[in-house]
Amino acid sequence: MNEEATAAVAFATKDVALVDLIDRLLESGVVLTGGATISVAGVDLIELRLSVLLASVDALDRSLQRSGR
Amino acid sequence: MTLRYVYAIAPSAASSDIEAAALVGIDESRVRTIPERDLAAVTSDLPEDEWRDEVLNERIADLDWLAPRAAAHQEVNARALELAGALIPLAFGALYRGDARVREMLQEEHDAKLRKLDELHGKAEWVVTVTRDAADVPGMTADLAALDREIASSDPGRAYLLEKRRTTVATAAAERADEDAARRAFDVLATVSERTYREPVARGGPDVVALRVSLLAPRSDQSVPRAIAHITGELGRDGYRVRASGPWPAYRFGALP
Repeated sequence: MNEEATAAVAFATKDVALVDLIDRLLESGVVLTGGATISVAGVDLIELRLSVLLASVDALDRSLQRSGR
Repeated sequence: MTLRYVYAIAPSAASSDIEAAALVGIDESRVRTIPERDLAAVTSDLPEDEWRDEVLNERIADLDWLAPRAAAHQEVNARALELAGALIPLAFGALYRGDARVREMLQEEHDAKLRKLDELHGKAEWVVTVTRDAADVPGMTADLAALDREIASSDPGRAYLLEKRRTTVATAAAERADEDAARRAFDVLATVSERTYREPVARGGPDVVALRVSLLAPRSDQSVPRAIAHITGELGRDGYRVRASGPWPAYRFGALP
């Protein structure tokens, strides 16, 4: 692998930017719902607030659609 | 009282290896597995008074609180993936009241979860984003340059109308250029991916996101970073930035059917 490739991809967990981490862990990922589960990703308000923080990534459109529902 | 925080679902065959690794989870909690038939949940116990939903929903918007816990969640999944070879990673914040509830969850669609683990064995995902500054107009054509000259030599009334026309032309040119950049990046990435998923993108920020895509590929496959490096160079010449992260446990593809 060349140097350019190393620069382009954050391989080690610790090098991953917070924004990427939160994108994967809160915006992607299996969300379990139902009476037995507490799952923060199911909370619209939280999603909206987080999404505003992450608006530069990709989340704003979807949260605005949800909140307008 | 404690709650069970679930990081991921693994094959139960990996249960003893994960136990033996004595992984440290969120808030220094000890990671253990809860097996049920062919599956095992990767979990740790967290105090209910700090993790019940009202408290959690309050805290999650605090990035200083969230950051180390999100990092711990991912660290557990990265290690568990190495040990198990396959993992269905869960989103942050899946909490259960007791082992029995976790077992119930594992029993639900047990076979489908098992098939998903099979499908994800040895795989990882990457996320690639192609952006440019909203202020830049890629694909500035000769037409735009000609319009600029005409505006400069026109009276204010006509210049105003030409300005409006220029905006329309520039927007169309930028859209064409963004679509073209997205297609070029996507085509290169698709050749090294087993699956791709176009992520929705927001509009209106300081950056225009031309493409955001998750891709699934063999975990140790060096063709993915090579493809990313390739499009970074190619699109960089046209004023686009490429951001990528990976390899991740399959957060996106684990959640897709």
